[in-house]
Amino acid sequence: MTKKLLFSILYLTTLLIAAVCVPFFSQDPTLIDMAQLGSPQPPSLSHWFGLDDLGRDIFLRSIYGARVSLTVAFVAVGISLCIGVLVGIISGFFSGLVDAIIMRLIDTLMAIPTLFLILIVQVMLKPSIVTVMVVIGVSSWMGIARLVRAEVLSLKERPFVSACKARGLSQRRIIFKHIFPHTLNPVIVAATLGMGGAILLESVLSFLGLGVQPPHASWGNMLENSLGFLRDAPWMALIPGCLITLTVLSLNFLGDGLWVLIDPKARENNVRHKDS
Amino acid sequence: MLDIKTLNLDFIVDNERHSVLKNLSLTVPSGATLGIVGESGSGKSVTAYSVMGLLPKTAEVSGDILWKGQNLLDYTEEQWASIRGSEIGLIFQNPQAALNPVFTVANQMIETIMLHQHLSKEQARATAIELLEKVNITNAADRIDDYPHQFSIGMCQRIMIAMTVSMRPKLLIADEPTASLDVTSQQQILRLLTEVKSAYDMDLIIISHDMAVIAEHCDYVAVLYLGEVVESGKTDSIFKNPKHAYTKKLIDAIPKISFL
Repeated sequence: MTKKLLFSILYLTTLLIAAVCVPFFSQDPTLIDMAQLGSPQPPSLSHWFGLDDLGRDIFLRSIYGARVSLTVAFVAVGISLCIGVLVGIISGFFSGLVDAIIMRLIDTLMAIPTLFLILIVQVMLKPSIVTVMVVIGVSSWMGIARLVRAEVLSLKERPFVSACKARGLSQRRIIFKHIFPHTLNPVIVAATLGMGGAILLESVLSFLGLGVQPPHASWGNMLENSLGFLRDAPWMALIPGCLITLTVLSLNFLGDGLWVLIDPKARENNVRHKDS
Repeated sequence: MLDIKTLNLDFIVDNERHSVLKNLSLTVPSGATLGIVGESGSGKSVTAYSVMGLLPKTAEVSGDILWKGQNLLDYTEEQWASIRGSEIGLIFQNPQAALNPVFTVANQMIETIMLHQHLSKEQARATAIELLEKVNITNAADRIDDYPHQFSIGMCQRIMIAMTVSMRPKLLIADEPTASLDVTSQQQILRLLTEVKSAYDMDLIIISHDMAVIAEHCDYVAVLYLGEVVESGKTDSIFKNPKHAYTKKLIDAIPKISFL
């Protein structure tokens, strides 16, 4: 295991634990401290990341922002996995006309710039964390579908698929029980990398005011909030900025690391043989 | 019960027609073992696949494959699925590749048994262990939870035989069952096939390129050459008196032990 991978796992685990546990230990992050209203406070021992312009604790808001980012990442990637895997399997297994139609549809969807599509949808809908998750999920499944299709195309020619047919198993059972697990390796890697993308996209949307709405904290709208104080209180921008960078970077390192770990060529040496 | 009449099969690739089987006729008499013999590319495996309805979409078939008096070529996909395994079982050339590597043997056998017999999961497991013992897997109750790659190829072939027999087919087609095995396992597998054939009262088709295998285990033989049956009949008479030059060559190809 490389240092990069180790660091990513440590960082992401810490972030995940903090994000899950924070509501049990702290007060409401949207609470405004009237005494501190007006001027942001720099990081100090009592407030590790300082206070923002409304006297809210930035450390607390960052962790609540992590909750938002991680939820969006998991749910959005979950949605795109469900659609992508299903479409990919159908396209690969049935091939022919079905495949051609689905693939051209995917080509068309991929040609549309995702960010602008999401912006338009978010303007038409009432922006909230739910719409952000759904919109990101629904607009990012195409890559996964292609990946799964390519796997299934080669898998369905494997002898064990004919053997399943020869045993009278139904097509649905062959597809979902016997072929699906084989597509998981590339899908897990793609999902990890996709989570980084989803976090970034959520931050962009919230930054533009089309994502998570204030007073709820998200890294994107914390950044947006810091715009007016860049000279006086640079920590307000640096902290959420660093968190976004670190999280996305860690997810990318994790994806790369997983890829190496589950590569069949790397695994070959560990196959156990119990011959009689 | 299986009667193939004037079967023609072409593969159409890039609008070009490639003839694979020409006017092929075969009969498996009840309770008999038929050997199909021929060199690589003579159409042995494709014949098995056409009986199972496992041909790729590029194949074009005409003629009759009569099973219990019904023409299988008129069957819909659902009708095929209903006879696959439960009426006609197929054993593949490469047993290790025919098992799904991500599931245990228990998982795949129980799935198969529950699909074809109305048994609970525990009963199906017991049946599976019993069958594995019958095909001489030692310590079957423990080994059943292993994955296919933990078995040797010979053992995988035994597992495939057990799994196919568990569906109680009336006809068992073994497509070069010993192609990837060493000589000792070859003998054991062929003997096992003959044993299960009589124990479960099935007809058997053994596909092979080895005349010696056919001579020892089959009652009838059909010699396939470039997609045509060039000679067929009782094994004894064909070995004693081969009419076709190709059959003679095949018989001569059996290695003989000679002393210098």
